[in-house]
Amino acid sequence: MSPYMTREDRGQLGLSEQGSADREHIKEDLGLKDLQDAYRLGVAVALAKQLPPAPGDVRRTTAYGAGVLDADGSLRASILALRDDHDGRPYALLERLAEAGLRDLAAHLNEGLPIRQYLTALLTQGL
Amino acid sequence: MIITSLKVKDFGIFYGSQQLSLGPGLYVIHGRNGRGKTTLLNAIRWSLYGHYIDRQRRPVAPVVMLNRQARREGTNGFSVELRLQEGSDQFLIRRSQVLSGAGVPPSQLYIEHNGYPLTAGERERVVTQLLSERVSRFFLFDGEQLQNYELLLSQEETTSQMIKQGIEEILGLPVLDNALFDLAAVRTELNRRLARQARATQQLQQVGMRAEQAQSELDSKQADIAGLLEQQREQERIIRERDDFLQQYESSLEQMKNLEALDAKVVDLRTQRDQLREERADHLHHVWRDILAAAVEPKVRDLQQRLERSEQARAAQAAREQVQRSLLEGRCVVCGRDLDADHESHLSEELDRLPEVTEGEARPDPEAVTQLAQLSRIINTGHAEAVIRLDRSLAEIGSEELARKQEAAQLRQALQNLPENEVTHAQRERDQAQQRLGRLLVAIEEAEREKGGIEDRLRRAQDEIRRSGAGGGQQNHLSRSIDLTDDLHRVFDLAKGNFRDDLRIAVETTATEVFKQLTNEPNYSRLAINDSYGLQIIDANDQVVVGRSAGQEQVVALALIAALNRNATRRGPVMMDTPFGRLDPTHRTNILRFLSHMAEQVFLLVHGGEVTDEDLCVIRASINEHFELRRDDTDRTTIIIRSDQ
Repeated sequence: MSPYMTREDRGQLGLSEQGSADREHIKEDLGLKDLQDAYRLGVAVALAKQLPPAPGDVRRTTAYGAGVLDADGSLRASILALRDDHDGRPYALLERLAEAGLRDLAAHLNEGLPIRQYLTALLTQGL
Repeated sequence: MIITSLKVKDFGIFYGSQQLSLGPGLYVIHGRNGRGKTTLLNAIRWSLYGHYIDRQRRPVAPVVMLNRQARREGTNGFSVELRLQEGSDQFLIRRSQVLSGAGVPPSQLYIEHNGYPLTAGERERVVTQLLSERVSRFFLFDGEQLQNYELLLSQEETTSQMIKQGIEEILGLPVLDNALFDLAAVRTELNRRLARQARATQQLQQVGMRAEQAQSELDSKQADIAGLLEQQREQERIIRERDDFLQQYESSLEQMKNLEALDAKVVDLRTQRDQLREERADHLHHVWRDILAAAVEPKVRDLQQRLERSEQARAAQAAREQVQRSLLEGRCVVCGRDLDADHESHLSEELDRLPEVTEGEARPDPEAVTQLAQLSRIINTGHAEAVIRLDRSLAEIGSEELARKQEAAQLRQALQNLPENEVTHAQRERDQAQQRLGRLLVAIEEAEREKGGIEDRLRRAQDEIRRSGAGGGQQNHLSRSIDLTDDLHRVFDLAKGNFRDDLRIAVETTATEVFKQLTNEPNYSRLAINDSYGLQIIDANDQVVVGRSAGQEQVVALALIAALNRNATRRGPVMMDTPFGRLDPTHRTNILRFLSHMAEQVFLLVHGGEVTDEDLCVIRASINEHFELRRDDTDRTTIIIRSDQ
C-alpha cells in the first residue's frame, strides 16, 4: 500500500466496460506496450484538461493496485494539488478521472486525428 | 494491280455480307473509332496471307474475327473475297474460315485466275507474286505505325535487313539475284561435265577424278552451307518473332521492374514505420508524466510564488523588528554603535518605508512546502516532444507508404493481363536462339573457309585439264562456255551493284520530290538515303536534321512509300489507315492533295477528328467514292456510300 493512501480511499483501481474498451482501443491505436500506460495517460489527460470526472455509480472491474499504478505518488499528489473535488479520497477520484481521460483521448483517436495534435494542445495550453 | 471488289462476310464488325465495288482512283472511307476502318485493312491482309496482327503486334485468333452478332445467331464461319485486276488478268481470291466446336481448322484459300481455279500449290505462289507479305507493309499500312518505318531501318540488323530485302523486292532486284543464281548453277554443271570428260581421257584420268572428287565435295559443302543458312534464317525468324512478341510487353517488363522496386520500398517503409512505432511506444510509456508536469506547472508556479511571498514577509518583519529595537535601545542592534539624531531620523524613515506584515503572512505554510516538494518531482522529461516528433515522422512515412501502395496497385492492375509465363518463355527462347545463331555463324564461317579450300583444289584441277588441251574440241568448247559463264557472272554481279545504286538514287530523288510537296518547312532541302533505304532530312546548310518529330517521321515515311511505289516493278493499291494522327493541318492538306498521285488506287481510312469535311473539300474532285462506316449497334457496322459526292 502506498504511504500516500488514506485508509478510506480506494486501494484497487478499476474501469467501467466503456473505460476498458477505450483503454484497449488506445493501446492498440498507439501501440502501447502496457495497459497501465494507457490508464496513467487517462489520468494525466483528465488533470491537464480539467475534465469532469466520470460518474462514480457504475460497476467497475478491478484493474490495478493503487500502489502499483502510482508507485511514486505523483498521480495522487497531482490530484490533491489540482482538484478540490477529491473529498479526501484522491484514488477514488483518480479512478473516475482515468475513465474521463481515456474517453476523451479515445474520442480524439476515433476521429482519426493524430496523437501529436492532442499532445501539442495539452503541452501548450498551460503556456 | 487494283482491287475491283472487296466482299466481307461476318468478318469483325461487319455483319452479314457487305461488298465494295471499286476501280482506279482515290477512295475515302470515313468512320469513327471502333467502326471498322482497321478491320477493312485487316480483312484484306487476312484474305491474302491468312493472318494479321493487332496494334499491339499480337496475332489475332480466328475466333475473334467472327462477327459477334453472327456468332450469337449460330453462324460458325466468315470469309473475305477480293477481286483483283493485274493488267488484263483477273484474279478472284476468297479465304474462308470455319469455327467448329472441336477447334479451329486452317482457313481455306480459293483462287481463280481469269475464271480458272488454281491448284493448291499455285495459290500461295500467286499471292506472293501479286503482293508478297514481305512488301505488303508498304501498300497496306497503319498510319499509327508509320513512324516505325524509319526506326526499323536503323534498328538491329535482322529487322533492318528484312525491310531492306522487302524494299529491294519491290524495286525488282531479285531478278538479278535469280540470274546470278542460275549462272552459278550453269557453272557447276559445266565444271561437272569438264571433269567427267577429263576422267574419260586416259591422259587426264587422275586429274579428272580429282576434279570430280572436288566438285562432289563442293556440292556437299554447299548443301551443308545451305542447311546452315536455312538454320540461321530459322533462328533469326525465332529471334524476330520473339522480339516482336516481347516488344509489346517492353513497357510492361519495365513496369514489372518498377513494381518490384515499389514493393521493396513499401516493405522498407513498413520496417521503418514499425521501428518508429516501437520507439514511439517506448516514449509513450513515460508521456503521462510530461502531461502531468504540464498540468501541475501552474500550480507549482503558484506554490513557489506563495512561498516566496511568505519568505519576503518574514524578511520584512525581521527588518522592522531590528529597526524598532535599535530606535528603542538608542543604538544599532547590528553594529552596536550609539545612534545620533541623524541616525534616529534615518531609521524612523526606514521604519515608515518597511511594510507592516501580519502574523499570517509571515507564517511558513508547511503544507505548501510539502506539496511543492512532491510536485517538483513531476518534471518534463522530453518524452512527449519525442512522441510528437516520431508521430510526425510516422505520418510522413505512412503517407509515402500509402502513395507507393497506390502506385503499386495501379501498376499491378495494369499488369494483370501480362502473361508472365509466356513472356519468360519467349525471353528464354530468344536467348537460346541467339546462342544457337552465334554457334551457327561460326559454323558457317568455318564451312565457307572449307568451301574456299575445295574451290581452290577444283580450280587447280580444272586449270590443269584446260591447259593440257588433251580433251580435244569438246573440252575447248566446255572451257569457252565456262569462261563465258564466269564473264556473265561478273557482269551480272556488277550490274546488280550498279542497279542497286541507281535504285537508291531513284528512290532518294523521288522521295525528295514527294517530301518537298508534303513538308511545310522551307528550310529542308532534300532527303538523303542510306544503304538500308533509311532517309535523313537535309537542311539548306546541307546538315542532317536531328531530333525529328513524330509528324516529320510520318511525312518522311510517306515520302519513302510513295517513292517505292513509283519506282516499283510491281505496283499495288495503297491503303492507309489513320495516317494523319500526328500531322498538323498544313501537312494534312499537303498529303491529301498528293494522295491521288501516290498510286493507281488509293484508299484513305480516316475518322472525323483526323480529316474534316472541310479538309476533304481540297480533294473532292479527285475522290472516286466516299464511303461511311455507319454504326448499327455495338456489334454491327454497315458500309454506306456518302451522299455528299
